[in-house]
Amino acid sequence: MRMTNSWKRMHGAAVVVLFVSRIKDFIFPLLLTFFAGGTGTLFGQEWIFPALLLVLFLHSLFSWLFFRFRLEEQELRIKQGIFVKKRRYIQRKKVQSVDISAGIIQRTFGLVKIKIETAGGGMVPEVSIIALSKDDAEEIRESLLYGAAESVSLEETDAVDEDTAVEKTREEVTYQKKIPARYIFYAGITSGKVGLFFSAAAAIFSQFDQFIPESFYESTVGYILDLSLWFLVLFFFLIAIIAWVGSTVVTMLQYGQFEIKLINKEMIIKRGLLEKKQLTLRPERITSVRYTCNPLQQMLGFWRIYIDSAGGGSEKESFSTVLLPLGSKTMAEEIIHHIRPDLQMEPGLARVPKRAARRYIFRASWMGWLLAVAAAIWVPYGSMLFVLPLLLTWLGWTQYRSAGLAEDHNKLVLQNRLISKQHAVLPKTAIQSYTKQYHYLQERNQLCSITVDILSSSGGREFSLRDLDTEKGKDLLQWFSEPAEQKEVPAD
Amino acid sequence: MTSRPLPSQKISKKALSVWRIKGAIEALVYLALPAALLIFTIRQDWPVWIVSIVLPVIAVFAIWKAWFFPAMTWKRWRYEVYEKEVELRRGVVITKHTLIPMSRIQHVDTAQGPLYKKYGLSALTISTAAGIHEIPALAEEVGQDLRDHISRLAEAEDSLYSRKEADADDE
Repeated sequence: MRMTNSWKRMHGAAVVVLFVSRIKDFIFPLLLTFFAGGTGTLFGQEWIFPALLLVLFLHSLFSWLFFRFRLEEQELRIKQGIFVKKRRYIQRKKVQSVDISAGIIQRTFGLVKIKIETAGGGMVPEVSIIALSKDDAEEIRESLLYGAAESVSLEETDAVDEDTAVEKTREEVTYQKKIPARYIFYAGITSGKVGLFFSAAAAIFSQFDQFIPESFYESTVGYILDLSLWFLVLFFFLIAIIAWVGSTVVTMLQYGQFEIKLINKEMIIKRGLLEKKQLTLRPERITSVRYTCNPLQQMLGFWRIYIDSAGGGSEKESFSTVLLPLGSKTMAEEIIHHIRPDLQMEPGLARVPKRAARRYIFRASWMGWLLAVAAAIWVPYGSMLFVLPLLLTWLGWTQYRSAGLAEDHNKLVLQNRLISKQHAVLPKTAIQSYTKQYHYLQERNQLCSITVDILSSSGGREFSLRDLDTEKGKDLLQWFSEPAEQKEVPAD
Repeated sequence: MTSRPLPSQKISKKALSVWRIKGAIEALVYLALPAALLIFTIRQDWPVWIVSIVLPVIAVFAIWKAWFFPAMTWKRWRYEVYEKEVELRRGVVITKHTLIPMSRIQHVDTAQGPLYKKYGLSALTISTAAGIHEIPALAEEVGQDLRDHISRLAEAEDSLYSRKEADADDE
């Protein structure tokens, strides 16, 4: 099963994957030429569309032809490029995370895609091999993460024993947690995505009239207007339900069969029903643990956990990784206990001072009040809109109630709320800089805001807390100035 | 709690001249709006009150931006380089006080635009893994010395840190 140390091409299916992604990239030019070619009025050249397709296909074909990779003892080498030849050597020690996933095309051919993230250095921080066999991907992953030293010693052992030896030394599972499907379902039905889906669905429906023949429109629209109020209410209700169900299904597909495994101090997160995703990262590289819950989830006692790390994470999750899609507090505590026991949720937070409350309320609601007053003056029944600032005032109050912090020698905990509550636990060593800031009004009230930034795979991520006591802000400056305590190596 | 001294080092006074030139250019851009309004008032018979409100407001803003704001920014800027950390304190409306430990600093650069070059100034940028911090307008020699100084300290701190890490790995 060991890969020969020679230059290898990806599986031929890579051409299909490349071709599809090229088509995605060029979708607008393609559509334009397709329709223009069809009617023959805009350009009058029907060959542009097929020619463009052919060029994209040839480009995919040659990209595949010229893409080669080779696994060495200390590094993975890649050469690629049709006209400009590029070589990349990814050193084992620079690897941050290895992500194995399989899209629909890969799964059709029984293949996987591997994505390797490396520690910056100004270059593109990641490299992908988009179609290769599972065995090859596993070997690259093992070699890059666990090192050549182990595999060299394995090569020396008897060939017959090799497989069992591999199992013994490499697959030492110290922790395994599967998230039950019902929690993924709860995550779906309580997610804030409902709102997003709602607006998306509304946007789509609002475009619909363009596809309906005009005669139909003229004959029916008057009737519809008669029923307008009921119709609209029902219509939006329907959209809301579709959106709700839709987002739940998407969540189930994305996070279904969620599993966390700890193997030889590497953490592996697997998820996805249709598209399997697998992410490997090292717990000691975690730079933040964020426990979040929206008001609904808070009422039900559910938490979601995101982690940032130096490397890892995908764009959709704004460069963070979901460690727990949704679960009870006990589940959250249990998982973190096994992954990073030093980054547990902090029960004893110091709240921001009382005098900060009106600043929180003002920030949340001033726009609402302004809008409501304007509406009350100029719009009939506009005073109904006063519900809005009242709600926002309440929101500001809960934001104030949620805001708090705690610190000890090794970590800083910041809790705040926009709508969802976020409880961020940051290891002190991960914090890159600390800024305390205030303006005149804050200074008069002896208040200040603080910001810290940490390394995440996108570069930096900022965490802030507003309106804490000035003295506390100064203390924290001093706290940050003192080095973190020598970290205890967690016992296995 | 020991009270920390605030950072004490000022940036170069020449910063004022550069910022005022920049401010003046910016002010000209802002003044384009009342200028356009003036043309409309004359050519298109727009009511006079529009331009007579907008012009003074923009003019005051432009003067503030080009003259007073640079002075205040310069006056407020302080930095201090310790053995273990760099501290920055600046800001007119919002005062910002930042602390960057040496162990987090990845690299230090000096940069010079044409205006800075003419006045013998350079800006010092301090990069961490999460972001970039800048000390603007230092005299060229000061900037270079500071850059070398910080990068030496950061390097020392870094090797100390990696030694500790290696020790931890051995355990």
